Amino acid sequence: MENRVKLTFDKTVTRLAGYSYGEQIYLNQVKNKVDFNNKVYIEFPDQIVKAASSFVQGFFNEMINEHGLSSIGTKIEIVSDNPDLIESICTNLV
Amino acid sequence: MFETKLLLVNNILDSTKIEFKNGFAHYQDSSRNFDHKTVKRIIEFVNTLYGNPSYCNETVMFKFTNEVLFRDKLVIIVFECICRDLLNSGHKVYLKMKVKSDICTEGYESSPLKYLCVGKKYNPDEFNAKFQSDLYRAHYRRIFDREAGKTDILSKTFDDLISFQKPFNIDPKYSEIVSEVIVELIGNSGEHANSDCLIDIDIAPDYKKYNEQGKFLGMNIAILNFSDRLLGDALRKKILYSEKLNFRDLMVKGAYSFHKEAFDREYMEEDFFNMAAFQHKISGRGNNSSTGGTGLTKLIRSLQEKSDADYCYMLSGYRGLIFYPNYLKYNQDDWLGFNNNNDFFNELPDYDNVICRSEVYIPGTAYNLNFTMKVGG
Repeated sequence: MENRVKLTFDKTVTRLAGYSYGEQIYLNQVKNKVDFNNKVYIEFPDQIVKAASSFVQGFFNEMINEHGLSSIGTKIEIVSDNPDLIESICTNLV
Repeated sequence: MFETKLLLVNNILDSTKIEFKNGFAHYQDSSRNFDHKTVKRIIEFVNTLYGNPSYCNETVMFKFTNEVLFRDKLVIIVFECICRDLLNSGHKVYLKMKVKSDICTEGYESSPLKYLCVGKKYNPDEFNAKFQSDLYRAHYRRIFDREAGKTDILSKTFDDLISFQKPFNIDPKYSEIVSEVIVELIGNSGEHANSDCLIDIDIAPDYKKYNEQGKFLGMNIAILNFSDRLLGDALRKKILYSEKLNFRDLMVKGAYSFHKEAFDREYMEEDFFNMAAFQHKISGRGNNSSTGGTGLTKLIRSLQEKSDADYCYMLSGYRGLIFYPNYLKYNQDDWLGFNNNNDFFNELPDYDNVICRSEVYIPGTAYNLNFTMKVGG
């Protein structure tokens, strides 16, 4: 079975913001839900078109501290049909 | 709760004589410019009132004998805060003023101050309601709780702000940037200053320029939080006293060693840490995160690139930074020098153009971002 988690948000939300909110989403929906010893897939729902830097920083903080920035996109893959979202995540991580 | 009281208690100035006329504690001002100096005089008056128990139920009349020109929307909002504090303290408040409009201050029309003006519209309950929240045509006002960043409120606000801008034919890429700047600043208030945050946006459509074809609009964004923490406080504490600094933090510490030799009344330690707070990947967050400090200046820079004119600044305490576009350019290593050579480490900032002083102590942080931009169609 794929080591994958699909994030869920309120259906009215299309853009994500807030450092603590990002941390909460990671803690509640990702941490301990996937095995970071293997490749991880984190899927954002189609409704999400953008992530502000505060959300990105909070969401990825622990993952980067534990696995390194280079793990994002390699060992930890972000899945979304929305290229703008992927771009906003990448831009806000560097 | 939005702590307007902090503005008054942090500006205990000289007492002034309170004049009583027709049953009112009278403040009279003949200035034509309503700016930070005016606010300072008003605060002196209000604190004198507060300082005397026998004045505790007095009705206040603010009378401006000449047509006034507000310096900018932030000054209007600070005056609103003072009026709100008076009302919350049990005083009735009346205004008598005529206001001159220009592109920077058309926001007076949307200000709840008009509900305190002498006349048929006088309605202090409506003033309080509109101070807290307003969404009408080209005006957006909301006060966000300090906990907003912990829930999806900021995310929903991000979408709300984009919807708010839609009717004005603004380039969607621009409205995304504006919305992102605002939600990031709201988040900063809650996270770093542990305070509620007031956001106010005015859009003035249908501007024309005498020297350029096309349609323009003006946008003014004011963002204000009152807190016992100034913008650079957390970063200063981290850089100077923390033993766990990452590589970029250590570089700021190194820059501090250079800059501190030049600190004087024109360029102060506070200014250094205000500039440092806007550096890429620098954050007052104490967790030594490698993901912090990446948003703000790039966003402000993006806004300025898209607009034709600008007047953007921030204040915290008595000090402030002017977001002068020529100096908001990252060098190849992603540092901002705030000077002609864009060198943060070996050159002092161009403090005549970049650093400003406030007559009034702002407890917390205040931004005034003003843009004129071309619109489609």
